[in-house]
Amino acid sequence: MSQAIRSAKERALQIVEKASRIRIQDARDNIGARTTGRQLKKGHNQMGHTQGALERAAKPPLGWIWGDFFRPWQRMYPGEKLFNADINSRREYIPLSLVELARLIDLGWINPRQPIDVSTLCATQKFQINPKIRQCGFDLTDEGADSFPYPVDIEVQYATQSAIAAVEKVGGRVRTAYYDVESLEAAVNPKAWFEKGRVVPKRKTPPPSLMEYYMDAKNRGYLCEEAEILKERQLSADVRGYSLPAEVKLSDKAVDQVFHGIPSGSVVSLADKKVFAPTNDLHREYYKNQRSDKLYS
Amino acid sequence: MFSKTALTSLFVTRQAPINICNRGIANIPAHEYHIRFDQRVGRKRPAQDVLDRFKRLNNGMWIHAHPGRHKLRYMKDETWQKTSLYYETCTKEQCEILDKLMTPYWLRPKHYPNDPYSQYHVRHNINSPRVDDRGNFVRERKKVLLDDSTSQRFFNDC
Repeated sequence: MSQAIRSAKERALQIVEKASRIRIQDARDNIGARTTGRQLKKGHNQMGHTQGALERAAKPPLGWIWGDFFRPWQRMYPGEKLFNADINSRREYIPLSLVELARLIDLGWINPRQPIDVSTLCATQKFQINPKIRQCGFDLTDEGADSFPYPVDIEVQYATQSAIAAVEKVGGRVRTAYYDVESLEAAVNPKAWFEKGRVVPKRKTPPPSLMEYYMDAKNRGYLCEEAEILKERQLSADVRGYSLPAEVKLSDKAVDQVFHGIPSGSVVSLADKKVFAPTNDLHREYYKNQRSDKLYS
Repeated sequence: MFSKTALTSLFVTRQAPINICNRGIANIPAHEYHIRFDQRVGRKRPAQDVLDRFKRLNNGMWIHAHPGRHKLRYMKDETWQKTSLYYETCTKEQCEILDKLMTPYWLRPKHYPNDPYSQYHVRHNINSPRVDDRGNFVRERKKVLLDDSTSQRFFNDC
């Protein structure tokens, strides 16, 4: 049969006979009958650049937002001296509120019958002080001043007037004292200091900018006379309207002493549980004299 | 005696042709393309441009001064005279960008006595979560040994 049918017409007819019913969709061009333009993909049309050239091109700077290519966003604002200019001369203190202090005593982390200072507070492992980044100690703030029950003897580096009044109202004692970087480092972690075999440092007198603060009886500074402090103590009691109970005085730390009962200049051996005082005259002379912290700031 | 011309020529100062370009530099310096790392120390350097112009408050918000506040003040109105001296806060996205340009030292809350910004370190009435994914407070100081209800009674910082 296939040999009998030779003409194209007949073959075409035969195809039509075999095919299913013709629909309108079948009346279309053969593939490739008409050619359209090349389809553009993402890799094409890159303004004459290749993909690699774009990848390696300069990217806009950090903070750049749409608009000004030459001025990143963070540089569009004016400089302000008050913001961060004096960061290297600012002194940071760790806030210690009276609630937290009361809580530490409540839960037995601190013994209120012992004098409290930087070493006591840091021994609780609840505060981190890094003297290297200009953290200068504790700031006694007045949150919880209305209900502070413990007559403590506390030495901090900075204190607000109302916090001082709250402690003194119940018969406590507050002194603000300056620790220079080296002695604060020793006071923050005495164990590490002693294990290194370093000499217990001498607490230097404060720099000129802080001298005024620590010589002011209002701040209960450690450099002013006891008589003046007593007068100021009575004055704040009169102003704030409370009667002054007898003051507890648990400690008498010298002005240049870091730890209670350990004279500066000595070496502490934790293994022998002994304190070695210096015998060399030169060494003694050095630790007897008053040393001032750096003269600037 | 000097002649008059000689005298004037003595006092003539040479004027350097200075034209200050307000737009800044023509090419972006290479250090702008990246967050900089110190090769010696091997850690990130904070962007000094940001430190000069912005301040981060303890609650994580950044503030900046009003741009153009010194320009043509005489021809602007009373309200602008007053409000242009205010500091402005950044948006959340801007704060996130600025945080990325900083080192951990600058992201740490810092306490200074007699801080003029002490009132602005606290932010109230915020719905966003108080803690981050590690359970640390985002905006507040972590109190020592205090439960939340007690700390809210005594502290006014959340």
